[in-house]
Amino acid sequence: MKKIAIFYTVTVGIFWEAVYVMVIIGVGSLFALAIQYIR
Amino acid sequence: MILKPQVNDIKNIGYYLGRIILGIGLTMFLPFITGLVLFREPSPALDFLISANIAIFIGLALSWLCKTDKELHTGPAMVVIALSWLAVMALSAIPLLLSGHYKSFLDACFETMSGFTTTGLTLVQDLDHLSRTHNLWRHLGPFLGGQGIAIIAISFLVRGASGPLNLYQGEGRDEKLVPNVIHTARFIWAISIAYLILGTIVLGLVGMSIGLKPQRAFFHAVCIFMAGFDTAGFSPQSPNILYYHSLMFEIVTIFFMVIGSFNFNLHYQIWTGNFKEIWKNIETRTFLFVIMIVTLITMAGLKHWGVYSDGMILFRKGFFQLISGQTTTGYMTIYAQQFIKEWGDLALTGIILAMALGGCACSTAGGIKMLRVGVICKAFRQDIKSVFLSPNAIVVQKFHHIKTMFIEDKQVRAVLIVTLGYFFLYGLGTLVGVGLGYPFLESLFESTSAAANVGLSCGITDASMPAILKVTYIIEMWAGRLELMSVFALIGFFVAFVKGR
Repeated sequence: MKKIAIFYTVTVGIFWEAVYVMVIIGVGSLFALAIQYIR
Repeated sequence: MILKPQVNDIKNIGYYLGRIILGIGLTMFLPFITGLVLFREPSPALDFLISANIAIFIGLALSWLCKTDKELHTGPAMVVIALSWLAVMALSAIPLLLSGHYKSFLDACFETMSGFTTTGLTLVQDLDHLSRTHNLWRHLGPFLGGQGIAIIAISFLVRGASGPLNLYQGEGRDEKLVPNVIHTARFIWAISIAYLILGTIVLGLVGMSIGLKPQRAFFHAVCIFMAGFDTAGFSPQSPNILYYHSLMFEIVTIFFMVIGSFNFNLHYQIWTGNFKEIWKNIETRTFLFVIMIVTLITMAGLKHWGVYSDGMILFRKGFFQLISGQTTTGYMTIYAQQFIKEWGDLALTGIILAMALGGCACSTAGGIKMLRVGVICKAFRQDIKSVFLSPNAIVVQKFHHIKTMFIEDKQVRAVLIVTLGYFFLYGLGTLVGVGLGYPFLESLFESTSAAANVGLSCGITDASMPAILKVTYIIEMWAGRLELMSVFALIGFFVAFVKGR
């Protein structure tokens, strides 16, 4: 039971780390798109 | 009066150095066995058997000759760390030299220092025909060095109360995940190995989806993961990440580069249920802020010079290089010469800034580090506030890093000393580069890349570059990885040995 709890917490932890990276990628994509349309 | 080091100090240094060398010798059995059994490359595998025997002999001899049960104090521990990185560089270079893909022993030493310090600058010749066994060793270097050479020793080979802690701190890490430093070292391995399994599976599947055969896809996956998560930037193919021509591969690589540049303490907090820490921590906040600023500068430069007009290409070429620089990885989706011939000064300035500031403290990343940048910004804000308030007002500034802390002058002073040290290192390599006839911006780019352990290259790093520049970059990579303090301790030790009474 304890092992399942650890596995669950680690998985959720990795999920939140992935969300943070998606925010970073989002910032990059947004800037790239914005710059494309600026003349 | 400077005190001359005692015989016990020297014996202590020799003993711990011997244990670390022994550890590196034992790790060479991994490419030996893999090369022999899995890759069926007996000749390259033999290179590792020879090198492992040399390292184990030296390690055992040092440990036996200098055997001591005295505790290792802070000063000697820093000397051990500084010397062990040089010893590991020289011993790990032996199998690479025996591969025949390096022009000289200096080039092989450059490669191993670049690998172990997670830099990623390379002097290899004909990389595409290097054996898998040697390639595995090139990528294993960052994986071992990224976690820390001391971490290997602390986890398996060193016992005692203060010795392991002093070794751990000597490697530029002052944050413990759990109260016991041996458990901290083991947890760092646990995080890295958990991500190694995840990363190899994901990158392997992506590799297969773009047409690589399964065995090749998973070999590339394990190499790219080890060099990506540990922010080194080595690749098994000479065109680096450009070789794969895949947006999905680039996105997955970005994921592991960013994750690898996280503080191990942050991983620990998040993995133990403190999920909100990722949004509250000064390092992740500063990282996000800095990435916005440098993205704006770089993309404005690229747009101004008309380098990439399409948004997708701006992302895949501009933003990828930027994330690679900011996380101090050094993976590239362009050729080195393109930085100079196409990018223009403004975009280069943006990427140099990203490299110089670097990733998070207590991670595999290099550079000044986000924690220091954040603390400097907060201290700056505190000073500005105090100018506009009543002279009697007490201005306090807080920051959140695992727990909420107040900014103290002592802390700011320590942060500024290390920051100045990094600027000195960036300047040193630039000066040598300019002195040897390279243009200023290119010299600054390459020097920052070496000292901040990044690995992006604008084309200066090459087997044909002058030996003096190779030695300068080796020193920069070494000092940058150890955050200078252990190097200063080593210099101080020699001064005390010569001038002390």
